[in-house]
Amino acid sequence: MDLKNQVKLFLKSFFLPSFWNDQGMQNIGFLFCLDGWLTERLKLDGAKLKEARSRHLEFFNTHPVMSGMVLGVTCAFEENRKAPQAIKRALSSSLAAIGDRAFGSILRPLGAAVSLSLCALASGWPLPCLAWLLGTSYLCLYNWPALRIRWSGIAMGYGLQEKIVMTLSEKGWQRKMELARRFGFAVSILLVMGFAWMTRRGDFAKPLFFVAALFVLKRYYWSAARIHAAAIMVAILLGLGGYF
Amino acid sequence: MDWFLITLPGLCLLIALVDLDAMHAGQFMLARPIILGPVLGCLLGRLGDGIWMGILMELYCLETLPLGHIIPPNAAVAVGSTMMLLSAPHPLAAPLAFPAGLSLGHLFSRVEAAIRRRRNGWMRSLEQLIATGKRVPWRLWLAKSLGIHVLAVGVFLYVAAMTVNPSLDLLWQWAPSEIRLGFEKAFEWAPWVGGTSLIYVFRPK
Repeated sequence: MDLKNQVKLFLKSFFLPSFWNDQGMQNIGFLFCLDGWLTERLKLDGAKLKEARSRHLEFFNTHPVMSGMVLGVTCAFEENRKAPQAIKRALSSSLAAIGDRAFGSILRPLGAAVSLSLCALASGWPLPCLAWLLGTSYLCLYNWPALRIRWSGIAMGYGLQEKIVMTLSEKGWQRKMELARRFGFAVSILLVMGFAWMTRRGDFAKPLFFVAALFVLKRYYWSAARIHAAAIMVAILLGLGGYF
Repeated sequence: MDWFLITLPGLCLLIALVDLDAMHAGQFMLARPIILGPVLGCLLGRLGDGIWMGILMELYCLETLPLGHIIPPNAAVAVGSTMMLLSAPHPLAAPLAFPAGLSLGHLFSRVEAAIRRRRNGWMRSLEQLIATGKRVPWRLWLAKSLGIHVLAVGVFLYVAAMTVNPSLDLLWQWAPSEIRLGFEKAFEWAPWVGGTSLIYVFRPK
């Protein structure tokens, strides 16, 4: 794929979820990204353009960062006059699962955990420096891999076409995600223990008991907001009982 | 008066524009509380509060993901409204502003759901345009989609700041000391709740 078209698809992919709707989810956004390719590159018009556009109005949903790969494969299929529906369907759902786990469940919290740890290490710095450190470290940690995958995914999908499924499985996503999860787990435990040490001056027993109790609530799908609401009620009852 | 006519509308517009990044345009994570909190804190002259509220709100909103039809609480609206409630002419106490902001973030997800439902009509319009072979006005549609979201967030935040702030301020003054103490204690525990959320996200599955 030439650079001009890759840049166009890359920039348009940032607006993929803009047209999100309940019926087809990201289908309109996908057609928005692909429409330029169909009309300008493939020079489709009339019945062929109508047919190609209608093909891409079917349900589509994936993780926005991984959308580059699906766009690349679809462009190649359209160019080679092959039906892209089946591969698009298969890729979108499997890439959505990878993207949600890698970027939503691991990289986003990992960015928060690492930037918070850096701030804890630099706690003596002036506030503007801390704010800058917090922001830049979080944004860099998330955006560097996200932009890289979004950009290179277009060319990768276009070049590999259906072979991308094999290549993705060889890339060892699961192993990398598991390593990142373990690292995040260790960093977040150290962060919570460090906070306990700073606020309780070495008295770990109470905070760790508290964290363990909260963990039990989390097992029963209690969100942080729900736990906060319950904490307000408990604190009011304890206050009324004269505990504080 | 400057607050209601200049500062508040300006803040609402800024938050609404940044919130586009959460889903509609970009996804660079600029709308995450950990980024937006310090920025708003800096603009409002409360950098320390901005950093702290941003961190807490980030930890509280970590575990919810926008999967399919699930619309998580809007983190930008949550941290934005918290900072506005903290910096209003009659500022709310942080232990009250924090849960109020969280609730507003939850409430806004209902508005987002309504906007998405409204966009279902676009499918029919697009099908008609394709069937008749007419040009699809992509730029207009994109501007409309982004504009509706900016307008919804901006108006929601402005109305929330104008109504929630004075009413909660009055309630807080009238509330018995035990209730105020309850909110304060829960806010003291908030870092632990957030820390647990962080550990829970990375738990072995």
